[in-house]
Amino acid sequence: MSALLRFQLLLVFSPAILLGIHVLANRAAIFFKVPLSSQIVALLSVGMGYGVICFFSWEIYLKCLTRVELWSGVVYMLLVYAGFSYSYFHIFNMSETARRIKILSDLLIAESLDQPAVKPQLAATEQISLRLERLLALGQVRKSGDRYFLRNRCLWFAAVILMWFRRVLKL
Amino acid sequence: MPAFVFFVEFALLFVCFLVHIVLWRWRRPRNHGAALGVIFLLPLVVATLFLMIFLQTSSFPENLFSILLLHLSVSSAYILTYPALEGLSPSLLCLLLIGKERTGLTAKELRLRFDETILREQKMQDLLDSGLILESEGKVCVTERGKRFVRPFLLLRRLLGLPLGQG
Repeated sequence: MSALLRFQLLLVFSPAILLGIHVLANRAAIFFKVPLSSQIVALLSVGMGYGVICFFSWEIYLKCLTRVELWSGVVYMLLVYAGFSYSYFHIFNMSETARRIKILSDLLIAESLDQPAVKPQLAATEQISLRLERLLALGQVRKSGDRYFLRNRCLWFAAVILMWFRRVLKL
Repeated sequence: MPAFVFFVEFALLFVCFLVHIVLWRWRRPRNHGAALGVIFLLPLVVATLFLMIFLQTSSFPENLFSILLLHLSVSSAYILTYPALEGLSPSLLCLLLIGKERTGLTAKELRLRFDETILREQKMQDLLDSGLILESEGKVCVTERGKRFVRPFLLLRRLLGLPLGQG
């Protein structure tokens, strides 16, 4: 098996490697009662995954490349892992915050519910409070008194781009 | 990594997004997930066949696998972002509303600016449209498809030692 193929296989299995790191990190955080939100633990796991993937990519393939090839190899590795790790983080986030997953898992446990019984679980005030708590934990907003202000423009910028693309797609 | 891997992938993504935008502006498909899967993965199959013929080889070239891997990674990231794009993620809406006000917003003021339908009915309708839940005589239950969709998420939570998400 060539070095390139081994490198590609490492990238194919990078989501599984990330899952393994996340499981260990999350269980360790629960065991040692580390006061971090589960989304921060997931982000830290993605960061640790970068370290693992970079190390093994170097050992397997990148160290054999010339200087010019090395740059494109590193960019390629970062792009592929960024895409997969973003997808993984998104799936994890869906399990944490997505309303559809919440409705489906509640229904699966209860087998069936009356239509009105589904709705109170999604009380608007509760949903907004939950999201504000998460945004505070992620450092995206800050609270001064009872007022919320933008703290970090990273997710806000993503939201602006999404709103622009919504207009492009006529949503 | 040869430069053509990046060029071919860029061209592939360009074609996929072009088809996606044109189709969505013309007539948005009902099952968005499946439509996006076809739009982003079909060109990959076509490009693979084209390059295999073009390269006059029956073996699967490693560079082709590099393109395939990069495309899969970028496409899956977009396909997973799409629900947040379409469903107006409340977290992102919170940020946009807070960002508009220099004096900030209280939770109560934020609540008043939210459209109730964004938070509830729209998602129920999405689930019904996607065939993930079924409504009959005032009762709602999960379809087999819905069960297949939600089980991996429940398994992930169990693996991580976390309780069910709060939505």
